[in-house]
Amino acid sequence: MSTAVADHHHDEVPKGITRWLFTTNHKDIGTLYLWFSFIMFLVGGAMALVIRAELFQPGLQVVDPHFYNQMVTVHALIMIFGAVMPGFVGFANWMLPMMVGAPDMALPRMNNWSFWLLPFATSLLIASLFVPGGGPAAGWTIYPPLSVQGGMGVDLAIFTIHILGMSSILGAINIIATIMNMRAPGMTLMKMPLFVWTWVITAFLLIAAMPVLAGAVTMLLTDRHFGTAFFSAAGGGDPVMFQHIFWFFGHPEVYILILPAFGIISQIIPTFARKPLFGYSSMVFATAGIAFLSFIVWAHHMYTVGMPLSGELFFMYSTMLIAIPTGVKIFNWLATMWRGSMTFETPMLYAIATVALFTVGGLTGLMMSITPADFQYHDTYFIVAHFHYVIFCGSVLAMFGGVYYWLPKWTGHMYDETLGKWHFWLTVIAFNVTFFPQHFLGFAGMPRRIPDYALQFAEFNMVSSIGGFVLGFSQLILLWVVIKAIRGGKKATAEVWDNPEGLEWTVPSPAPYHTFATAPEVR
Amino acid sequence: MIAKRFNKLRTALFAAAGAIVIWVAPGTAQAEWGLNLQRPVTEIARVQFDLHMLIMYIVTVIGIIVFGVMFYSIAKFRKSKGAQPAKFSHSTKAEVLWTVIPTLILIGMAVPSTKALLLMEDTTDSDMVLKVTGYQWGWQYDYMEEDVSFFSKLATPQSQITGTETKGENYLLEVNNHVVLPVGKKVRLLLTAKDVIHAWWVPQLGGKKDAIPGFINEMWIRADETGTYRGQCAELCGKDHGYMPIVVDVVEEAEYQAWIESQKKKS
Amino acid sequence: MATDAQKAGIRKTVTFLVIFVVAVFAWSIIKYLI
Repeated sequence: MSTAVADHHHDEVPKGITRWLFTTNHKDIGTLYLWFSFIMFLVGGAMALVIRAELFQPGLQVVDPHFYNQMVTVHALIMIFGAVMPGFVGFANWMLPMMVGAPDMALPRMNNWSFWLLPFATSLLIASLFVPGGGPAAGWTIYPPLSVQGGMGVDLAIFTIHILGMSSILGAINIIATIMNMRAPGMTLMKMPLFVWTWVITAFLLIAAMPVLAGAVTMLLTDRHFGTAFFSAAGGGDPVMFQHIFWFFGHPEVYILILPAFGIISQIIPTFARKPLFGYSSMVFATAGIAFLSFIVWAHHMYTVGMPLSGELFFMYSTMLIAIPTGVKIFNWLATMWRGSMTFETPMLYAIATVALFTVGGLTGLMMSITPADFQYHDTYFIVAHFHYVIFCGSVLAMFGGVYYWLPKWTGHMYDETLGKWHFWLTVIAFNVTFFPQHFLGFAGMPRRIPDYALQFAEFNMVSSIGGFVLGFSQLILLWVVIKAIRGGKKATAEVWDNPEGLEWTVPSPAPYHTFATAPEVR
Repeated sequence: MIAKRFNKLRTALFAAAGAIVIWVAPGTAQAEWGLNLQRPVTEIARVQFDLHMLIMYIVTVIGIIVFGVMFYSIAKFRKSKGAQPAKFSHSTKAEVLWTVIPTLILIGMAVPSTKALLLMEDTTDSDMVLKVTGYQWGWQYDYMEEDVSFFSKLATPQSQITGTETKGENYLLEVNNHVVLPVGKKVRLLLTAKDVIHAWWVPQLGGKKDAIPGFINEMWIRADETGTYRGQCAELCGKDHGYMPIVVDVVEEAEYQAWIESQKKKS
Repeated sequence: MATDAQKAGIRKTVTFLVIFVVAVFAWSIIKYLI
C-alpha cells in the first residue's frame, strides 16, 4: 500500500451505523465486543436476580420450578459465553495489536464476522425462553438424558453454542496468527507483555477445546432428533460419556475464562506498585503449565459418577497438582507488590481484590479436589460459591480493573475516580455478602439447582439474596462511569499513569484510529 | 494527633471484630446458622468429616498467610508513606521455596485422602443389599433379599410450598415411606435410575453417588447410631429435582426385622 | 496492512489451525463411533 493512500486512510473515521456494521478496525471491534459483553452481563445478572428473588425465602413465590431451571441454565450460558468470553476478546482486540506494535489484527474482515456472530447467536438463546416448552432447563452442563427430554429450546441452545463456538475459534485463530506473525521487530516472545502471553495460550486452549464441545452437542442433537443413541443406555450408549466429552472441554474452558484475567492483573499491579512484574519467565511457564494440566483433570467434575478407583485417584492427584503453578502466580503478584511504592486508584483496587478473592476461590477448589471430601461438596452450594469466587472475582473483577485502567486510553478522558471507588467497594462488599454464606449452605447440605429449600437454609439464603440485589444494581455505576468518561472529563495524557510499561502508553490518548502503521522500535 | 486517633480507632475496630468472632464461633454448633458439615454417624462420614476439617485448616492457614502478606504490603509499601520502589524482579531462592513447600503440603494432603478413598470404595462383605432406583420425582426402594419394595415420594403438602399453610419442621425433607435400616450392619446400596440421572445423598450417612439409567453404581454405609437421617437428590433431574428427598430410619435389629415382616404382609 | 512476508506467515498459521480444529471436532465424534 502506497504512503499516500495510507495517510488518506488515517484522516477518515467512518460515521454512522454502517461504521459499526462493516468495521474491520480492531479498536472498533474491541468496543463492540466490550459493549456487547456488558449488556449480556446485565441480562445474565437480571436472571440471577430472578433466582435470588425466588430463593429469598423458603417456598415458591416468584416463578415455577421449570422456569426457575431455565433461569439457572440461561444465566450461566449468558454469563460464560455472552459476558466473560466476549469481554476478554474485546480486551484482546483493543490491546493486543497495540501491545505488539502491529497496525491491526491479522484477519480484520474475519474479525468483524467473529463479532457479529455473537448478537445473532445470543438472540437465538434468548428466543429459546419464549418457544413452547421454554428454554433449556438442564443446567448449562446440559447432561443427557435430561437434556434429551427438553423441547425446542434445547435445540436453539445447541445452535447458539455451535455459533458462539465458531466465533471463539475464529477469534482464537486470528489472535494466534497476529501474535505469531505481526510483532514489531525486536519484540521477541519473551519480551511480550504478559497479557499477550496469557491470550496466546488462551487462544490455543480455545482451539483445542471448543471443537470438542461442538462434537458433544452435535451428538446430543442427533440423539434428540436423528435416531442415534450415543448417550442412551437403552440404545447401547452411555450418558456418562457425554460428561467425559463435555468436561474435557469444560475444564480447559474455565482456564479460558481466567487466563486473560491473570494477564490483565499482571499489567495493572506493576504499574501501580511502580515495580517490574516479579518473575516474568515463571509467570509465562506457570501459565503454560496450567494450560497443559487443564487437559488432564476433567473428571474432578464427575467424582460421584461411579468411576473406578484408579480414575478417582488419578484425577485427584492431577487436580491437586494444578494448585502449584497457580500458587506460583499468586506469590509472584504478591512479590511484585512487596517493597513497591503503591497507590490505590480504582484499577489497583480491582487488581488487589482479584488476587485476594480469587485466592479464596482457589483454596475452596483445593478442598474440592480431595475426592472423599468432594462426595459431600459435589452438587451443593459449596460448589456454587467456589465458582462464583473464581469466575466473578477472578475474571469479572479483573475486567473491571482493565476497564478503569485502559478507559483513559480508549476515550481520552480520565474517569471519575470517586464513582469508580464507589463501584469498587459496593461490588466487592455485596459480592461477599452474596456468596460467602453459600459456602456454609453447601456444608449444611443444601443441593444446587433447587428453587426451594428446607427451613435450616433460610437465614443464609436471605442474606445472600440481599447481597445479590445490591451487587446487581451497583453495576449501573460502572455504566455511568463509562458514559461519563466517553463524554468528557480531565484530558488524559499518552502515559495516563505513572511511567507504565507497554507500547500502548506511547500513543496519544485517545488512541488514534490507526496506530503503528509503521512498526515501532522495540529494544 | 489525627494519626494516633486513627490508630486507636483501628485497634478498637479489630478488638470489636475479634470479640464478635469469638462470640459467634460457638454458635457454629447450631443447625440454623449451620457453618459446618452435618454430624457424621457412619465411619465413612466421620472419615470424610475429619479429612474436610484437615484440609479446611490447611487452606485457612494458607489464606491467612496470603492475606497477611498482602495487607502488610498495602499498609507498609505505600507511596503516600514515602516508600521507594525496589528494583528486584527475580529471586530464584524464593521461587524454589514457594514451589517446593506447596508441593510438600499437597503430598501431605494426598496421603490421608488416598486412604479415605480406598476405605470408601470397598463394598465387600456387606450384610445386606438395598437397590435404589431414581425416578422423576421420587425413589423406588427394593430390599432384594427380602422381597420388600416400595416407592417413596415427598410428603410435604402443596399448600406449605405455596405458602397458604405454615411450613412444618421437616419442610421438604419428609416422605411417605421411609427407608429403614438396621444399625451396625454394612449395607450395600445399588443405585440406578429409570429416566434421567439422579443422585442419592444423605449427608450424615456419608457420601453420595449418581443414579444413572441403564447402569448400576454401588455404595456402602454402616450406621453406628440409631436415628432419623434426611437427605436430598443431588443431581438436577427436572422440574421437581428439589422435591424428592430421602429419609432413612436407622433402628435396632429387632425393630428392623419386625418392620420387614410388616412390609411383607402389606404386599 | 500486513507485509507480504507477514501475509505468507499468516496463511500458514491459519491453515494449520483450521486443520487442527476440524480434526479435533471429527475425532471427538468418530472416536465414539468406532
